[in-house]
Amino acid sequence: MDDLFYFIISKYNYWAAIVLFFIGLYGMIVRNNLMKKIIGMVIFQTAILLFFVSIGVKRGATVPILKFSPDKQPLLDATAYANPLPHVLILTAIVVGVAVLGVALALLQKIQRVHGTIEEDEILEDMRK
Amino acid sequence: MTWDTSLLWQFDILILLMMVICAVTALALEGLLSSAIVTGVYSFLICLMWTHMMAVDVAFTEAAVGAAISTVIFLGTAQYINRWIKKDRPREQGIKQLTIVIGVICAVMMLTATRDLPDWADPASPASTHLSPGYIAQGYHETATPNVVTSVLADYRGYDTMFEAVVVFAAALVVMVVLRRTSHKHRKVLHLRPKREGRDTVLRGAAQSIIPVMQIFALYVLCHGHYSPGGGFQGGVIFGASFILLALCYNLKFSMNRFREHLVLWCCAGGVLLYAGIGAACLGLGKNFLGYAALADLLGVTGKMARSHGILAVEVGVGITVMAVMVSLYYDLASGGDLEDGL
Amino acid sequence: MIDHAPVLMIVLPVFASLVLTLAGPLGHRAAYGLLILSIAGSLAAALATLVQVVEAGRPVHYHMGDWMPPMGIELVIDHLSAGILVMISGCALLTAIYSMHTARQDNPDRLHHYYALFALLVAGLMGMTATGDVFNLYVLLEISAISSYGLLARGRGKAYYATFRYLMMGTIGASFYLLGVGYIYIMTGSLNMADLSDILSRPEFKDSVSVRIGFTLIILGIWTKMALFPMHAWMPNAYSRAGTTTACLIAPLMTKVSVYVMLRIMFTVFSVDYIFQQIAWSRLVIYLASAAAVLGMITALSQRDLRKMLTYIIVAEIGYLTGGAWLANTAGYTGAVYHILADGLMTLCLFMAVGAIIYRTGVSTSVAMEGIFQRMPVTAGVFLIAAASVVGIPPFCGFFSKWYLLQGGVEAGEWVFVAALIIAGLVAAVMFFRLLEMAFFGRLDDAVMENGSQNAHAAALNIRMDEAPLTMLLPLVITGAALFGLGIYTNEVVQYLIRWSLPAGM
Repeated sequence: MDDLFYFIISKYNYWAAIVLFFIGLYGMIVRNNLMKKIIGMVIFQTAILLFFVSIGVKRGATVPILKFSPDKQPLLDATAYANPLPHVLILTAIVVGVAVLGVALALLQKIQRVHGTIEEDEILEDMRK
Repeated sequence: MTWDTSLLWQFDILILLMMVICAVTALALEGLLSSAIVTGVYSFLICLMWTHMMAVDVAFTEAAVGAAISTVIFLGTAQYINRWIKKDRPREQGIKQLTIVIGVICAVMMLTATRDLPDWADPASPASTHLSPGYIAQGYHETATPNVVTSVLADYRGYDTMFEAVVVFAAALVVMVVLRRTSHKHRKVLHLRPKREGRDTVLRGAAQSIIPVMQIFALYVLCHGHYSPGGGFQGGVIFGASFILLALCYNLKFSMNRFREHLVLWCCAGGVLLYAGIGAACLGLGKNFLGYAALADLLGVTGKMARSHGILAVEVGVGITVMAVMVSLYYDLASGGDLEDGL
Repeated sequence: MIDHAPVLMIVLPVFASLVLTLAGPLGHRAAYGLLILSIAGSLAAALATLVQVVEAGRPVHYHMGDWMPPMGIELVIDHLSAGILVMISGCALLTAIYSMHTARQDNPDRLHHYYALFALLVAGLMGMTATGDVFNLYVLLEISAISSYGLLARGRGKAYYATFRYLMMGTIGASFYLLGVGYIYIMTGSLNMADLSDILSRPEFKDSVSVRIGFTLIILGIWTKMALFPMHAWMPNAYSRAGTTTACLIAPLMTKVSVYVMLRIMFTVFSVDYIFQQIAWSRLVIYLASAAAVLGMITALSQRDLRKMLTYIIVAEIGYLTGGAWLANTAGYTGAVYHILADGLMTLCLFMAVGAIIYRTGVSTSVAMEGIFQRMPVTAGVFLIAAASVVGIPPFCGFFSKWYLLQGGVEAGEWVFVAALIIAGLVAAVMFFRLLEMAFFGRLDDAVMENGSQNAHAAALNIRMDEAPLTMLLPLVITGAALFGLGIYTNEVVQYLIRWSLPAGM
């Protein structure tokens, strides 16, 4: 029982990331409405970010900003701080995400104007004309 | 096997469950406005999650970008599109069902394979032992920056961050190029946006008192990124958000009179130019691209302090670009590209 | 300065794009000049690096910010990437020169912003090729992707929906790649390619499920980006609705760079042993590649729109490249790498020629080819060269890559792939023969009778020499000559570049 508990506790973050990843992918591929596809894309991307940030967590560690002892010496014990590298990667990836989101929304507005709809099947019909 | 209960797994699981519920709801709702709002809630929940995982810089960014700016541009777009989805048609159900089945199989495979991943929060995992101790142990001695995330972001991986600034710049450019195109006939323009006079006293009063504080806070976040969570990116987003708030509480024109379209464009390019220019200056002074130690003689400080100052300078560059890009995205997306009236 | 060439070739276009963004008041000639200048600088830096690499016989490393890898980001330019970098900047330069008339035609407004995105795309592609860091590769991948969305959205009429689909597929591809990198990172703790390769060669990773998932995700992401059959559906619409300049820039380069990334991940980060002994999907991949080659060419045959036809040829060529890379022998690898260079030039040449024809006739279906030899002899001549190269007629470079690929297929005993190559070649021959027949003997009257379109009618009235402008013709002729030159110097290319880049253990 303890083993099972430990197993769940040590993996649930990854499970959540994977589940969200596939929910997002479902939204992007299967949904017919383009806005829903974009929302799917946001979920899809954040799922990956969640996975990355999960990598950086260390038990018993705090935020990766150095602490100083009273005589101004930094405390440099690596196990005391969370892993900063995934945080850096994710900062970059969040920015990339919002950039793609902006472009997608701009295209969406244009699609509405040109085709008069944002439902995929109606757009395809409109294009066939 | 003991488990350190300080990580509060109950809290984590609750938030993760709520995130999954939000994700499903956002995709299932028929009203697009409400799904945009639910997406904002989702972003906010993930911020909580990240704060709890000690990724404060990331949570800060996600709060500013995901929960605030993304939601605003979603709502801005919602003025110009059909707000209700039509039910999925029965056509092509076969292919879609096949896709779902394949997806579920892949998901199950990946979920079972997590058995092989290192345990969550294990201090002995490869990711925690290979490179990151180096950054923590040397970062302060080499860059004089206590916030390790800042020193890795702007110095060790400064090249990535430069291109991160380029990515947002590119996005602003693309949105401009796509939306402000005049030569096409638009046959089906949808105008749902309300006429706004900007006379709401409560909103104006609130904006007047909040905006100066926001801007000062943004500058603090930008300059204090060496010592506390924050930096160019977060500071820039908050500063940009102050102009967006101005536009929301008054109207778009009011905000644009204070931060003109032209200036926005100059700031978008100028911030990246500052960043890349510092990189090129280091190159000119005999070090490699972005080797801030080259600035030591110029600034009259040690190489270590020169790196610290270099980090501040590039953070300012990132801040300027990000601020301008957020404002530019808002101007374009909320006004449908005509810059007449916004959300 | 020569030491800094690796970084200069990436940041020069970035600087150019920043200046171009603000260069509106200077007029389009200044913008055009600035673009050409920056890309020419980039090409010069790439050539200098190529010479350096070939002379030294070992890769050039450049440490960003003076940080030693794996802590910092490094650029690594070896024999493989040096050749590709020259190809990218060369193709981009030719397209930039070519763009003088067409870019203005496609962009009545905001031409300088269009050029700014052009430069950013080049910077992104160069950066992807030069980098030695898997996460940096993702960032640059997104730069090239976002700028290409902007360029493609400027296309004709209903390009927005095609671009939107491309954005969705591009994001799925990039995100799969990123998640794959996450899996690799969680298992190894590193992002530097050389460091990763050291760590991953340890025995405990041989059977690791997570590493295998990471590899699968990365490869699936790259396949989506490079439009390998059956993930190619987004490409034809996006490319065929693009403006002429955009198509000339994106069609030859985007997919080829993705193929390069695939080779990098397969052979630099992972190893021959891991790919072909542990994973052992090569049979399946080769079937996919063969299907891509045959179906791509057959679909191309059935198209009436010239640019759509060319796009389906790219789908087929991606099949050749992928197949060659997964054959697991020297000849196949040589063929794949050589074909990246050759196919980049061939695709560029075809798109430029077709762009010139469309520019002059105003028709984009195959009717435009009617009587082209009388009206645009030079363009038609170069088109003939490119067609001969795609079909695989010596002495043009397409022949040699096919030769290597066939040799590799025979050595590996992959008869399906060999058959696919031959069938695809025959279909291509039929397709181009049909087009060239129209171009030689096309009776313009018939064209008018059959189609009755006003454009065809107008074209028929103007039956006189009506060659494309010099700025279009010059790059076209240079590309045609390059196809010939690359064919003649095949041995040298293979000997000085490709042999050196052979992965260990092949």
